[in-house]
Amino acid sequence: MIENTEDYYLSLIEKYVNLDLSEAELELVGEKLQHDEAFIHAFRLYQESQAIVNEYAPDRTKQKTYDEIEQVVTSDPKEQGRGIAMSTVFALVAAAISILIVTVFLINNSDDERDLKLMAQQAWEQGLGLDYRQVRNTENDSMRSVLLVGFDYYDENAYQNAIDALRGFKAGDLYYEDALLIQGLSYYQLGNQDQAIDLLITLKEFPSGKKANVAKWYLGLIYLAENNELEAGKYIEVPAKPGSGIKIIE
Amino acid sequence: MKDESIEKAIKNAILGDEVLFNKFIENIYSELLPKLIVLTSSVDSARDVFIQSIQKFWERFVIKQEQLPENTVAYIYRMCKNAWLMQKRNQWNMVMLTSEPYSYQAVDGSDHFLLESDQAVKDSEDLYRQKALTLALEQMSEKCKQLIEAELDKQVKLKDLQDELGYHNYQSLVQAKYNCKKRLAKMVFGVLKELKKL
Repeated sequence: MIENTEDYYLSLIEKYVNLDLSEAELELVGEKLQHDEAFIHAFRLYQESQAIVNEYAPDRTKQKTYDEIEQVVTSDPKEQGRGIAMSTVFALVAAAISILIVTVFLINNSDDERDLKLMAQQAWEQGLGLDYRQVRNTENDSMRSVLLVGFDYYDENAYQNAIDALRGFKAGDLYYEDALLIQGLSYYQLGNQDQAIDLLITLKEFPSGKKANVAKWYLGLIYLAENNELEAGKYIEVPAKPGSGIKIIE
Repeated sequence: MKDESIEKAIKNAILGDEVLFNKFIENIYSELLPKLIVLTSSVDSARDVFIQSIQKFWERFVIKQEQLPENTVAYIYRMCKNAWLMQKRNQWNMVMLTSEPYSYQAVDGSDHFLLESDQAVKDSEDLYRQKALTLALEQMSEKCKQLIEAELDKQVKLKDLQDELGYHNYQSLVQAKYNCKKRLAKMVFGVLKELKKL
């Protein structure tokens, strides 16, 4: 083996062991390990030499074990600890709230025959403010087309598609409020109540006020469906007896 | 994590506090995982090559205190790519990537370098090894010998040699020790090669 070839081989082997090869070098080493006898011989001698030195003077420094690293990348013990602590706190808070709600309910509503959830559902089915099928016309209005596509998705219960279709509307665009409404209701149907409430509040407070009442209606119904009559009462008048109609608070 | 933070994580790890280093691993893993999945086509393989690369990273930058590369994230990705391509070629049978004492692992999983039954050959190999080490050590400088031998005596702390051997800081001392071990291995390599020619 020529001396400088040996040095080159050793530098390649060292890089190989250190996971430090470039892509071209990786290809080369792969080839050499299969076909180059001199390289394979050098490789074995290199390993043997390392072994001799390591046996003579073993490293006392702590190695990072496979299991240790695996534990870090597959789970975060701190997060787990925090998770347990937080879940305990949440469980306690939830239990306390449940007891409070039940107590208040028993004291104040023992003769209340209303099913607030059912009332909300029936009111929701009226589809207030969602008369988009009637506003279709033959005008070549691309924004209206997009809005109707979004509404169609909503109507077909394809709520995420509705949100995606209407995401491009910006404040100031024609039909922006309509897009907000359909997106808000879609989020609610997808179970993202917080996002739904955020969008509906934005709609309620939008300067044009065109859809403020519709926003209040649905905000009220969302809270009513949660049996949160107090919060619902900020937006709608909830009848004291079943059978009467819900009204929007002007 | 910025490179200064990585330096801090490594400094803490050297002192025995691995909290920041573990956080660093966690962050890098999250960052690289999508690319590693594309590379290996499986989450398990992605995790496997990442872990192997971090073991090597630890050995080089925490234990041996080598100079950190400029872009650590890109560098770790390159290490993972090395590990993956080697694994793909099924060459792990031949090369042990840890710094454990060397053993040749055969395809059947048994550890042996020579056939146990061939005692004469084994004895002769042991003799070669011993002779190679002795001759190589003779060629080492006194300073290097002192640094390497500090490892042998558990009573001696490497840090105590810093002033005695004239190193400005501990990192230079550690690097010098590993350079000496590297030089010793290279000398053993040379002697062994000559002995086996005979």
